[in-house]
Amino acid sequence: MIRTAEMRGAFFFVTPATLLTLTILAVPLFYIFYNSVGGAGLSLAAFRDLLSSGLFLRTLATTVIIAVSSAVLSLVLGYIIALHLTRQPPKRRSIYMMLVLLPFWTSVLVKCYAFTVLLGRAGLVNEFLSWVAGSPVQLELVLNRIGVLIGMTNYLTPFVVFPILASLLAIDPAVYRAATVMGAGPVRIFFTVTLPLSLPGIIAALSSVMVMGLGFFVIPALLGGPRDAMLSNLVDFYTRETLDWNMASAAGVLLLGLVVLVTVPLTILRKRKA
Amino acid sequence: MLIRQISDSASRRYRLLGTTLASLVYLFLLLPIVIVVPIAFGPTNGIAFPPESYSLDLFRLFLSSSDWIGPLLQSLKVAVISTVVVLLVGVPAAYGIARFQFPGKVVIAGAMMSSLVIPTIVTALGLYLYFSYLRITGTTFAIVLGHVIFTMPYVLVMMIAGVQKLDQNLEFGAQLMGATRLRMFRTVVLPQLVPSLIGATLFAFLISFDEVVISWFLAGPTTATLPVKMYSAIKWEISPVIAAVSTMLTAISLVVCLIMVALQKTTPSNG
Amino acid sequence: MTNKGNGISRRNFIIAGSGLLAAPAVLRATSATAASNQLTFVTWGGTYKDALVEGAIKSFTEQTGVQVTIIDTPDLAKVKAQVSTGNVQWDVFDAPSAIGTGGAAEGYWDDFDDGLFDLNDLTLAPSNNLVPFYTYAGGIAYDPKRHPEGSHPTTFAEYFDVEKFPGRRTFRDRPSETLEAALLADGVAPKDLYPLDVDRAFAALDRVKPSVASWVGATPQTVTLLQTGEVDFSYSYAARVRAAQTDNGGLAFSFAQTINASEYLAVLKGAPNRENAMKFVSHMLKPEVQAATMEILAYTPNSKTALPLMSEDARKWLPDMNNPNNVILDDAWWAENFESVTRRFKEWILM
Repeated sequence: MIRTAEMRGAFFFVTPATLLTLTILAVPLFYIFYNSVGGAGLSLAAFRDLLSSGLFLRTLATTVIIAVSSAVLSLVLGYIIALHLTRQPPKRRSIYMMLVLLPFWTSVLVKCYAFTVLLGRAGLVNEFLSWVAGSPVQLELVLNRIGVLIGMTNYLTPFVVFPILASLLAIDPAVYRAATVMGAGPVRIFFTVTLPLSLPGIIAALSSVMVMGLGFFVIPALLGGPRDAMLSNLVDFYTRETLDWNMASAAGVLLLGLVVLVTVPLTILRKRKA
Repeated sequence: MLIRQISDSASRRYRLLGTTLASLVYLFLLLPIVIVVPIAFGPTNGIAFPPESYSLDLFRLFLSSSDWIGPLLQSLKVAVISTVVVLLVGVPAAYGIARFQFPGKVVIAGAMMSSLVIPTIVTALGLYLYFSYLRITGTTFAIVLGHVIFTMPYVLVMMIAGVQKLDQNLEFGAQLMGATRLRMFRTVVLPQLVPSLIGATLFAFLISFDEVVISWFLAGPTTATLPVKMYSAIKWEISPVIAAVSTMLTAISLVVCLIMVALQKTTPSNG
Repeated sequence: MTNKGNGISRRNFIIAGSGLLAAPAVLRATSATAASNQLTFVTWGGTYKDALVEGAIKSFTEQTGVQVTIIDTPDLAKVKAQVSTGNVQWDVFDAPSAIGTGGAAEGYWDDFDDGLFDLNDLTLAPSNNLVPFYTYAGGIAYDPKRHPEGSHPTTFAEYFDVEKFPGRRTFRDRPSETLEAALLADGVAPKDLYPLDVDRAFAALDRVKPSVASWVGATPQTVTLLQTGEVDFSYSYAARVRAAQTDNGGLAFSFAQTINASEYLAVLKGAPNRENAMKFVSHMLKPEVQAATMEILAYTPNSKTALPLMSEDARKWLPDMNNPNNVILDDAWWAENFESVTRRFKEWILM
């Protein structure tokens, strides 16, 4: 039984935020669904057009490919950092943590700008390679798929570190001692003890980087070429370039659906592991 | 004995490999942040690394050009107002969610946090269509509303964690002494929440200050925020002034980062 | 489209919507027009913008007291969004030929007041909502240091020849000028260009697409991408290249073949500062303003009296209307086709 006083208290504290969420989030989301079916006409024309458009299907494939590859890359890099942090004594760990926190807090635009400077045709990486090779090197590292993957991996890695670090730190050191005593080498310990026991962290990290990766907008727009457009960029394209709001909304609904499709199984998996 | 030695040297090599790889990843994470700083102190006529001469010219250019100073002030304005609003609305909500049971709580709390998992572009599109219908796109008001919704989950998460650590008996005591709910909240709850409040404030401010996508959709020609200006500047002109802007943004991030770390140290249970 | 997006659905929305959904309708802001000393002018940025400020906008503010807010990169899609949502934020639009007439065909521009222009002084007469501002030349720009004589394209046929002139290129992100260049490259004679064979143009563009590093929206990029070495050759404009020469010593522009076109000024329908916008447009066409601006830009002024006032050096850079290799953009053709071809073009870029 919930007491009325408690109800009144809850009402007092929660109402303003609830109203705001309804009017500024729920209504706009409803408006997207409403627009995607062509208003009160309830027509699926926009979805039909989208699903038969080569541009949309290509963009959908690009989105999935980029999101999955950058998720995998950032998981590997994040795991390396998390393992390194686990081995540090607490004092030193908090210093190294700063090296992850600062990129975590840095604006995505700063990173995009830096990568255009670093990876451009006359950029620092090419200049450095030219100097090493002794002849001009002009690798195309930006305004293409490589640029997007570098940028996204860089952005996502800090988000991987925290959940994995938490689950690595939760592993009882006695387990390692036992494994060592049994004569297991470090590689074996990693694959039979560390990796399986950190699985909850990996799944948590995976679901958050997939959600972010699927919805990415800034990085493909700034570091990719026209063929690296992701669903977010297509939504922007329909909204601002062709002003076809029904198509934009339908693409938005499908993007949302894709995110749900990916996160729900991961969330269930995570709950089961936890 | 022999086996022990082999495994020792194997594990040493394994550790060395781990440290080397980790150093490379740290370098990868930090390089883009570090690289813009020397460029920002370089000359104004082109991007060179390392710059041939050092000066504050780019910062002077940044702070004297109305193209940049307008968006900077606009961003400050938007970030301050939306931080105030989101705290006014979010802190009580976090307290309500953490302290009370009520029907529909999971749904309501989930809805408030949902902008975390909804792709930002979808939120931005919804706001754009809806605000276009209300004819308020392009206004500062519209951007602030967008940012309040966007920052709400972060404030809720931090504040709920803060409230859950409080001793509820103090609140019971205050209510038994006849304090009204608002008075109890103000005099008993809030003062204990100061570290979380500072954290939430910084979080909300920085997220709003750096937010691109929602602002990109909602800003008009006279209400463009700094990230919107920067986004188009990176897309359309590779001006070294962007390095100065980036350096300033990074400095702000660094300060926030240090304060956050300091806060965590003062409240060890926050870990 | 306007109906699908707004008109009808807006009505249905209220009918279908619950009380909560309809409530915000009450809040709907109505646009208020009041006398102001403000003006928003959307134009093309970079050295071009600096020239307009120096040659025309400063004197306008001095004479009228009106503060001009300058926005970079005019975009017809944004005009459409502003007009169709009734939330117009721009006043005066700096419209290259096809965008100007395309916008006129869509009904985005407001009629000019009577007596704004001295019709006897203008080479090209204004329509009721578009006034020719100057004539410009678009063509091939390159860096002569990296690509000396013989190693850079001079005509569009060569610009599309990626075998003979390998390297990264730019094009504009709009079909006007780009489709013309493609057809010229494909062997269509300048005099037979119109009506454009759109399919043939896209087929020609398909061949060059892999070498296109950037579809440029903001005009300054046509020059900066060359300067930073991101591209080897760029579709740019004589005035931009000339400005880049004086301050950075370097770029060159091929006059062997150019696409010449009129730049228009237009006032948006529902412009918040309509009064000032009319004054502004009138000011921009005054002989002394035209002379001062075009001296810096080096484009052909529309004012007859302004032309002889320009220096010899500036006149060397003016579009050549007599070269048979050159094309004069057909605004009338674009008026009818701009919207549909633009949509196809923009989707084609992403494909």
